[in-house]
Amino acid sequence: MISTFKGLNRLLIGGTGLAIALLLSFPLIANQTSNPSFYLQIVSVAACSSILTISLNICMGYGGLLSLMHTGLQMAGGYAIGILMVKFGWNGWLALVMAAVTGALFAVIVILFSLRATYLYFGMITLAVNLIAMEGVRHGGELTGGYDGLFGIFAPGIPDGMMSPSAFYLTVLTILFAVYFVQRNLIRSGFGRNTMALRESSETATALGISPSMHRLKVFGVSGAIAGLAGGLLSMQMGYAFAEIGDLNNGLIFFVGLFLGGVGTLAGPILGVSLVAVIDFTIRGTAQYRTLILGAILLTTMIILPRGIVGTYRASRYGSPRSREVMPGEAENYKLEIDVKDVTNGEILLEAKDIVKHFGGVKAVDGISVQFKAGEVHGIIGPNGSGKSTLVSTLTRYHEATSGSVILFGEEADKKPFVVARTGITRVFQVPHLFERVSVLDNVLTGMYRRDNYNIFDAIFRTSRYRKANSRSVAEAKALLSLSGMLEIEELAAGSISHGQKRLLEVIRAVATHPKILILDEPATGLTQDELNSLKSLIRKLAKAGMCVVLIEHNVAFLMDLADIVTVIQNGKVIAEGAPHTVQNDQRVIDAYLGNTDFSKELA
Amino acid sequence: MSLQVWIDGIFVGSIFALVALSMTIVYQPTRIMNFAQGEGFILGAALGYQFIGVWKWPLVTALIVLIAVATIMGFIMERMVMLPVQLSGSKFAWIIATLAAALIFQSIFNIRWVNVSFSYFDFFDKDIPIFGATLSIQKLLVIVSVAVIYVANELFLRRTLWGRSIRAIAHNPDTSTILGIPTKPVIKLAFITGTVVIAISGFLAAPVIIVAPAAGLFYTIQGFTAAIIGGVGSAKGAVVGGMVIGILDSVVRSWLGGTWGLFSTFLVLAAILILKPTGFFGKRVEGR
Amino acid sequence: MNSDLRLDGLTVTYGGAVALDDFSMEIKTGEFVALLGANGAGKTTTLRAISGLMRPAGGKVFFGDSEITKMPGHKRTNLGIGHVPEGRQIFPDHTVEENLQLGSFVRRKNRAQNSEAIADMYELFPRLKDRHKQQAGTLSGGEAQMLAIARALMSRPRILMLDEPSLGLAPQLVLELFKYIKRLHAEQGLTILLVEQQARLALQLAQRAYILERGAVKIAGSSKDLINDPRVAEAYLGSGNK
Repeated sequence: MISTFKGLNRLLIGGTGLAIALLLSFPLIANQTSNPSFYLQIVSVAACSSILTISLNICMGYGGLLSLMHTGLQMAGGYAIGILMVKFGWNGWLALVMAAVTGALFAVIVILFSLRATYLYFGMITLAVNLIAMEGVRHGGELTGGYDGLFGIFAPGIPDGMMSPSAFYLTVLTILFAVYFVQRNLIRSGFGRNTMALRESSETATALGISPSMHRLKVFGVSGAIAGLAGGLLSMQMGYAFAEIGDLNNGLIFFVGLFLGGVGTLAGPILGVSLVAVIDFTIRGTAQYRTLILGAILLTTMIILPRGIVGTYRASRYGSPRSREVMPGEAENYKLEIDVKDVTNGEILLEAKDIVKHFGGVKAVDGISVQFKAGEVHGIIGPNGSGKSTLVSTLTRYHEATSGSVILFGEEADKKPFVVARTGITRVFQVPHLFERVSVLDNVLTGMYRRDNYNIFDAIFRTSRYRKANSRSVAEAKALLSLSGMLEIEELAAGSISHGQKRLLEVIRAVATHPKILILDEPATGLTQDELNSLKSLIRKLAKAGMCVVLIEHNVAFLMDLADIVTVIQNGKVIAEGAPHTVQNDQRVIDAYLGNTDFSKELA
Repeated sequence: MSLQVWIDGIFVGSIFALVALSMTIVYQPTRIMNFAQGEGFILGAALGYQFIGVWKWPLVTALIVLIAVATIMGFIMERMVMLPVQLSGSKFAWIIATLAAALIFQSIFNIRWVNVSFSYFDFFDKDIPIFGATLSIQKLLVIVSVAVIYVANELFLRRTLWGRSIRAIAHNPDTSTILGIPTKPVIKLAFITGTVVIAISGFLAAPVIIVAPAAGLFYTIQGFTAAIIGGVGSAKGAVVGGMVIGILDSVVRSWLGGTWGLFSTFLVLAAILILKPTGFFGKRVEGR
Repeated sequence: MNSDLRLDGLTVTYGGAVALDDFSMEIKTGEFVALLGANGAGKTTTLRAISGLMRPAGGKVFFGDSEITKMPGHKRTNLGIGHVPEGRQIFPDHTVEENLQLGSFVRRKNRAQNSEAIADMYELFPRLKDRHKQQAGTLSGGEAQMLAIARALMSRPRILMLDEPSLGLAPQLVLELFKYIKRLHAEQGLTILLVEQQARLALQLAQRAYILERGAVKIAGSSKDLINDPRVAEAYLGSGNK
């Protein structure tokens, strides 16, 4: 098995090397034919399509944003170059940079208008924008050439004249490789992790301190820039720019290529588009069947290979990451002292004062005051529907309390949940909200977002600022994993580990955010006894280090063993509070759980 | 603004309303907006052209065969869309699946009827004068069919057991299952009904508007626009939305000319999506 | 009519977690059994597995004379499994009467019987009769619960499963509700499986009970024995002696 795996891997690397060599030497091959520029153009255009598909992959595959305006972005890039070159005489290469800028601006404006739009509606907005843009350039008069579009776009040679087809071909190829690396570097950095976090669960991402709007802006902006760039290159190749470039029908190749190759993978876009280009070339004699064939491929892919070729490979036994051996002594490298800074044991970190929360006509929380102190494990229990979760949601500002105040670190807490998250409260939800398709290690790293002090450019160019921050974060993440015995599985996709491990992972990710207050919402559900013990020991360590751990649990046995103090809630009010064994034996609490009405006479 | 402009607007609006209505029918038990819905319109126009224009069949025969073919198309479309959705479990599945279905059907029409525009002779060939404007009977038929289909759909949904169970499934699939309501046949029924409705619309409209084989996506987009403006999932919204864009298009076109008409409808779409995504009559906001 | 329900080593996983762990349970025709336990113990999962809304990872489900483990959910209603789901789940945009008619979907071909059944429901729940043309969304909590039960009864089930019917209801209403349930059992011989969080209440009604803890049976026995058993409180609160 291992030899096949390694063998397959080597085969793939070899194959890729061969393909690159072939592509680079293609001009020589083309020159042997009777019409070299024809063949060069086919591959160039395919390369431009690949660039656009990478852009689509970034926003749809990694970012989870449905974009039906990528053909429009491409068109915008083409017009940017066209207008600047033909109408204003700019140098083509400078104009190309502006094409990317145009794409980015366009994308950013769309996002700014649709911050509140959810998935489908965002997609419809992009569709509408695409249509408007196409109509817009048709009516742009002199500037855009109206219905005819702009002609006379070309790739300027260096130092002057026009670039030869071979030179341009190589330029496009180089840009494609560069864009691939930009994609790769971005995705494999904090930026990429945050993007995927938002895609999988915007709630969780917010809880980790990521601002959804800001980040979506960045993702779509980058995607737009690359799309504009692709459009500029395409227009340089074809020599013109007109509205039809923006037609959704022309976007078919991108969608088919993306899904065939594998949406959300790095190599998928290029592989998929290449395959489609080959198919396109093969069927070029029967153009009217093109749409049918491509449509059929797309549909079949959705049914048989929903993850695309690369995605399916990655999910298979050969391509998927595996758990590894932890080298003896390796654990020593990753020793970690959890140290919650700036708190003294017993200090009140979070306080609820007379919180009331109405939902419709129901009083979910009816005047609750609680204090949460550093270094304590504070349990919250209560029967179903008692208001426990709602109370906690008001404390983290997921819901706004109808009245009452939330005092965090001595001051009234901010109204926005992700700001609260940044000030030192982290919440782990009832249902695991891991980023399933992301590795265990990356999940933990996402928790450290707030301490990433680098920006997009650092990530793309892997500057020393990025590398320093990255190695520091990775070391800490591995230490945390080592602490809970999960170092062996650091590379596995979070979706493939056991439920108990997922739970632990979530807690660790939460700890990685360096909270002062950690809120755990029913973490014990579904854990085996061993896993429960691991969790208990981790929580004890955290409390000892000064963290305030708030534990909402139904598994009261688990909680009672762990908590220093327990608050019991029923019908939105606190009915008892104290040390575990006091609460367990409190008749009011027993009555709350078992029901205290005696109907035996009426029901006899 | 002359009356003719308004009448033309209502006619065009009726077509869009019918497309939007058929989309709503599919949407209700599935929460899917079918990108391929417009292709059903093309089917109606194509078969109208072929059966009546070319083969000179009598009207009733043509209609019956049309309904049969549309039923089959609806059935196939359901499988094309629901299979990937059930198998892949990803967010994108239905969008890409419906897009693929749209392109497949579109290319079939393109291939079978190369260089043809779908139209056939107007049966009635008569115009009704209304206060100086004219309305052909064929157009009136289209406008009336909106009302008929809307009312029939409402009656079906509200008065019949199957209709109510469609609404029940739309609201709560699990509870519907517990009560013994089978979701799969209902979904098939929705796709088939939607396709038949829109095919009939295409059939009726073809004599007066010229339909190109590749125009399916265009009608789909108009249907989407109408449905979103009126409120996704609401039949009333579909009709109102359709009328809004039809009239707006006609009015703006007469005022500014040419493609400004459609342009303005897209602007309204963008505005609604940004300001009030649920549209005029939409209820809950989508989950997918 | 045999309406025995039997679960044989049922295991259900949900998102990777084990919700039910090798759970075996048996209810004989005409019995009134309660399924108790803290939240998350697996009670609702059990009902959903019986109704076919969840596919078990292991084990079997038997009802009457057949094994129904692989049967699709909507067909189980035909066999006679009636389920009043957690949170009532009535259809708010349909009238009371329409909700009832939807309940008899499986019997839609017997018009006469259905009218009779509706009349029976109105007799059993007069308040529903008063509101029969009203939108179900306007009903109060107690009325909605009555409607949910009546709707489930419309399919003439041989076993009725109720998921936390007392949730969110005032004590007086809960009493009224439980009186109905008791009547259903006593007068119509309906087999009943009652899931409740309020253990004491359920034990006052049912003949037998199973107490679940983390997907497995912690205790089982007759209500008389369990009602004073301290282990019941422990299942919810853990043992107090540390």
